[in-house]
Amino acid sequence: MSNHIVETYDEDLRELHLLIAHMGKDVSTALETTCNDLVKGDKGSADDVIEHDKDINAQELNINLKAQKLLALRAPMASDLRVVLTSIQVAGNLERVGDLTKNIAKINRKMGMSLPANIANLVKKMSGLATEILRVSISAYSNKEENQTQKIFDDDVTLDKQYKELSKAILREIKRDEDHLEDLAHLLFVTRHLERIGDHAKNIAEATIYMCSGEMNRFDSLEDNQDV
Amino acid sequence: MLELGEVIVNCADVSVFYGDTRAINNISIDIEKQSITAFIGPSGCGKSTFLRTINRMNDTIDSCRIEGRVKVDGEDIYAPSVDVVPLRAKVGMVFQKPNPFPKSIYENVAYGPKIHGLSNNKNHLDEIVEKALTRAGLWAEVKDRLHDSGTGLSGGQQQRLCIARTIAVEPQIILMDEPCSALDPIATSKIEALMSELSAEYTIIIVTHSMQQAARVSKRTAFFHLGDLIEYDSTDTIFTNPKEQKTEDYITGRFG
Amino acid sequence: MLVGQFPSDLEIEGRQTVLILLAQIKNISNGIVVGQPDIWILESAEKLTSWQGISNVIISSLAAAISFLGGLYGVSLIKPEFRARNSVEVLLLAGLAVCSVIAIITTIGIVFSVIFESIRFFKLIPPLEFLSGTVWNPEFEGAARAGSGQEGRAAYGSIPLFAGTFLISIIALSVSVPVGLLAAIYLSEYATRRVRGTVKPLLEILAGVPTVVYGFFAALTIAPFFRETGVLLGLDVASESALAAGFVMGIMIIPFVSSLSDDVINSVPQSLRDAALGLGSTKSETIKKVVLPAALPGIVASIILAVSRAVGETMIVVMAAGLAANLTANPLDAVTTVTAQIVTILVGDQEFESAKTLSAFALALTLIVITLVLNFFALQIVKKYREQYE
Repeated sequence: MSNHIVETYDEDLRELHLLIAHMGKDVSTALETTCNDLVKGDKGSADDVIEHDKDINAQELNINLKAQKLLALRAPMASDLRVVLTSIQVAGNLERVGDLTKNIAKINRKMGMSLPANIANLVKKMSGLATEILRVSISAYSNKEENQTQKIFDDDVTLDKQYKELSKAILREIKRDEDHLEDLAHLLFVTRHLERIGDHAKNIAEATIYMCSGEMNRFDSLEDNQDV
Repeated sequence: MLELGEVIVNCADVSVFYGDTRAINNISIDIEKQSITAFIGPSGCGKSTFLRTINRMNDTIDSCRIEGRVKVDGEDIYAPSVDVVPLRAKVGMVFQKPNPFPKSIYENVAYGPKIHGLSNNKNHLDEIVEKALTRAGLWAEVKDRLHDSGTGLSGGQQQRLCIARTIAVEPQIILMDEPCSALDPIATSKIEALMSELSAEYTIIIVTHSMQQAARVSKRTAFFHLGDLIEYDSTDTIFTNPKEQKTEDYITGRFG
Repeated sequence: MLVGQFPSDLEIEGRQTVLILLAQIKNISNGIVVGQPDIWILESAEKLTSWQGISNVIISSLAAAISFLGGLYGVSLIKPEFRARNSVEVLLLAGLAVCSVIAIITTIGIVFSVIFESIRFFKLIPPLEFLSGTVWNPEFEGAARAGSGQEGRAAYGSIPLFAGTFLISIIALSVSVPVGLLAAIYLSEYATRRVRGTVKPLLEILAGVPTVVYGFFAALTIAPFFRETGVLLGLDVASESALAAGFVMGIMIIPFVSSLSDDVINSVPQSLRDAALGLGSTKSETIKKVVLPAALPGIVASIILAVSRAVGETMIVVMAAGLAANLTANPLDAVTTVTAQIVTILVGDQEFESAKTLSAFALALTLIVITLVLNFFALQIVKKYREQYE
């Protein structure tokens, strides 16, 4: 696509897009670190992650302000309009992911026990997938590419299956080991958070589809056909 | 999605030539009745020329020649037997620069009814004038000075006077050629509000340079470029997700 | 100074004689000697010559001195801070102002000279009689003086003259206004560019024909034609009828009306025509109801200017209209106009101070006033017209 006649318009749009990419990277990194540390039983990063969440919130605010300015001053149309609208949506989703990551970090900090081996493996697998889905969705949005989005949808289906599996495993463990009830209950929350993160990544993918082709909520019809 | 209701103007393979130069290339388009359709495009793309074929105003230009068929309300308006005079009462026109006659406000509005013989007594004529001025949103401002000169009004009022003058002959279609380009934003807003009201009764086709205006007022938009019709769709679609790259480039300001 | 040199015993018979002597002396000093002048006159002439020589030298040296001093002053002004361009501005302004003032002063001079002489006339003939009398017959002036026994005083009632001017002008306008206006409408609304390009200059040529040619044409071709046609129709047409003169004058005035009206009609904005056509007017309806009313003030102004031209026309009426003042409304009769009368009066060899000669000034004054008033009205109308399109 050629450049706008007014060059500063191009610069504004580019800047907005870069802000999203930056926020996405921060959020992805925080999630990866927190999940790895949770599995290993390492509480070192927890405080930093919790503190850093404020910065992530500030980034969302900044993106909203930039988008607002673009809407008011440039009256963007067609593809430009979709870029600006989706930037607001994606920033919102990323901020929620950031909050969920913060919660996982808090749980890590509070965790009294070390994870049983089977649960640790499942958590590692699930958090790995969630992190991957998130990373791919952010990259697809940054590069304005639709071709990865089907994979994201499929991976999220897998993630949901893993969520069910992990939940069952934790519930079995609770029955077996009542002393660590609180910690195990927290772990249930963690699985829930990871499942939610998958959904947010899926939202980002849908936003990417809308931005590229103007099609809204493609995944809704796919979900209707799914037997999830 | 372009789903048209009842069609009132039907153009098929219309080409317009000025001497040997082709200004309009084989355009086919249908205009829906009682709605607002906008023609947009860069300067010199032929949108004004195309507009003027609908009321045969291009006839006044000697070197102008037209091919193809234009039907208004089912009737081919370029058929040899067609009289241009009643056609122009049926298809009225409002111009870019307000052009009231240097006569009184009353005489301006009464001009059309008089020449078309729409009224045979003064009371009836008074009624027609009042009704037209009311519909144009101007009655309250001028009712006490109907015999003042039309040229003494402000720009926005003059344009509304021209609109009143046009609707006094009870047209079916009103063509507007950049009606707000000479007006300030408030006057423009008033005219746009007026257009919305009028579209309940009249079919309006507006040529405009301002995409924002086309986006605000019209139900359907046609994008012209160098004499071709590039895309014609609901305004919504054109401005959020156009199908043609040229359309996208124009409305996002990537060429102009 | 010279008079003081006259021999004291010379008999002076009045101022006239002194003037004559002075003139003679001047002539001799310039080298023109007539007859055998007295010695003292020759000596005075020599003195005059030498005085003239001295004064020439004085004037020349003064001029040279002033120029030199002026030059010094000018040079002294040349410093780096001196803004020469501003001074040139002032100079140009002064030069232009001087030229304008000269033009104005000349006009005022003409008007005043006419006024003065007219006042002298009005001392002889009461203004009321001049303005309201119905008999114009200045011929008797000389007759009464010569004592030929002719009865009656000269009559200076100007009404027949103005009536004649009026009649001929009306006839001229009734020819030029319709033809000129319709020609203008055709040229600006209907003619193609090519036709307009040829016909308009042709019409302008009509304005370029010398009026004496028109008069010639009127006297030798048109007037006899009207007369013969009149005979055929059983009407008595004078050989110098107002109709003939008025008709030819009308032809001459056509370009005044057509050219100005054409410009005015052309300057009606195309947007008004578009508006009228867009409402469903035919072309002639547009012209009749929109273009002409919009152009009307300009057209009226052009007609008024044509009237003032007609009123002031001289050559055609002198050659083709009569010279006898005749108060009538019949265009087939011979009448005379104010302008023709002025010519007749001043071309004779009347004494300058007589009432007859001075009456020419009175007539000229009235003519000036009328044309002035007409032009003023035309200007006012044009001004009002311009305001409409601001």
